[in-house]
Amino acid sequence: MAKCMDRIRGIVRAELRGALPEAALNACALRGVELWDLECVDPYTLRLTTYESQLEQLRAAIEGSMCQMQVLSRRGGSRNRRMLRRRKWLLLSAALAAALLGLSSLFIWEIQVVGCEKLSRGQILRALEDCGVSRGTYWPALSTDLVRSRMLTELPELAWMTVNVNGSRAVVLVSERQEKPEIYLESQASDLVAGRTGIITGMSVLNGKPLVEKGQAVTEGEVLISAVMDSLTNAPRLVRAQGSVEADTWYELTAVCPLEIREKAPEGHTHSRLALKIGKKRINLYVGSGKPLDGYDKIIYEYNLGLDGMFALPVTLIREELCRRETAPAECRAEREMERRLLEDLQERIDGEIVSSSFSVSRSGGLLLVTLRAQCSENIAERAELP
Amino acid sequence: MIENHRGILEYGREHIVVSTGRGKISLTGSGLKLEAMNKCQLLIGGELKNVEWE
Repeated sequence: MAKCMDRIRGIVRAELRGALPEAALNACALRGVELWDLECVDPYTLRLTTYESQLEQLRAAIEGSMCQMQVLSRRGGSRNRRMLRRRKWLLLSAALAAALLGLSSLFIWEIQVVGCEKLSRGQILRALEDCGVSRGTYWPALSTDLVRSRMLTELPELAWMTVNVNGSRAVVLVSERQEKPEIYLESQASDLVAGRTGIITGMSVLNGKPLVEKGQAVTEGEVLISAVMDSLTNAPRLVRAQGSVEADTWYELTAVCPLEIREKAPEGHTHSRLALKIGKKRINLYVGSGKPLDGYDKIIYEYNLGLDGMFALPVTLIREELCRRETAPAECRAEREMERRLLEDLQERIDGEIVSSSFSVSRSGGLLLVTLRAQCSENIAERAELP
Repeated sequence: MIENHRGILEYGREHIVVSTGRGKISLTGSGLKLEAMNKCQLLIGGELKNVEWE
């Protein structure tokens, strides 16, 4: 920054030659001339740097010190000003660009969403647009409180949000609402029943009366922990059964896929085309935009112009990659994928872990069948409310 | 950095003498250089070997 300021003010490198260069330095100092980068070439020669605006003071100071001065080089200052005077259009363009940049920074050209997990970025951007925040919005007129209130009404999944505008970039911070935990009445009596047939390997009873024991086989729907508690002195009382019952269970899941499918095959013919988006206006940099694109896959890449984290310009470069693809019959090769999906599906179904698993593959009637057989260890206790 | 100096009496790469009004400061070393100078302050760079107050 200091170097830049020096260039604007203009600096001069000069050489002093004489019997007493030190006397010249002292005279300069007395007159308030700022000197730096002093280089002693020999006992009678000194080289120094000063501001261009102090050159005349320097000349006056050395007049009485038996020295001669020679300017070796000049940088910036009047030289730059003369150059800019000759290039009026360059100066005018630079001033216009600076003015446009300043003006464009009053509008939002980029919206960044931070903190969304369940809600998609698109949902938030659409809701923001309904609340009056989109590309090209004049941000000094925005009321963050108003936008927040409207957004929370539009999207009940949001617990809190705010919009921070930094130049032309709006950063939308959102915090999603936490789901309420299951709320139950302590007084509501309920049993725990088996959600699946299996062999019990362990029990942990916190409330209620256990009706089964470790090593026992149970069928689906059988009561594991009863809500009815016997009493020696009073009538049986009803409680809310609580606990967990671990059991070995067995699953058989099958996935089916046609043996012959039609899949997209790249034809190899790919081409790109460019477009510019200035504000909300799109300018195609190609001809034939009305041409139908049936049979083409289109991938769009967008590049926002600007300095990341500082400012964004209202100009976006869009590159569309078009790839022609044709569908062709192909043999289904999705065995591995089907096996993976079956395992994922099973893992989602159970409240425990898969102990062992095996797959079998068969082809019949034009279909590919993949079967998963697995042994699991899981908590099979499920709540059954008493009437 | 020397403040409130009254001028340079000698200036060389190995020897610089600065007037302070009440005396002289003699600096000896190698590659000595006046980095900056104005009415009140002097900034001297280089490898200093000896500083003497005369």
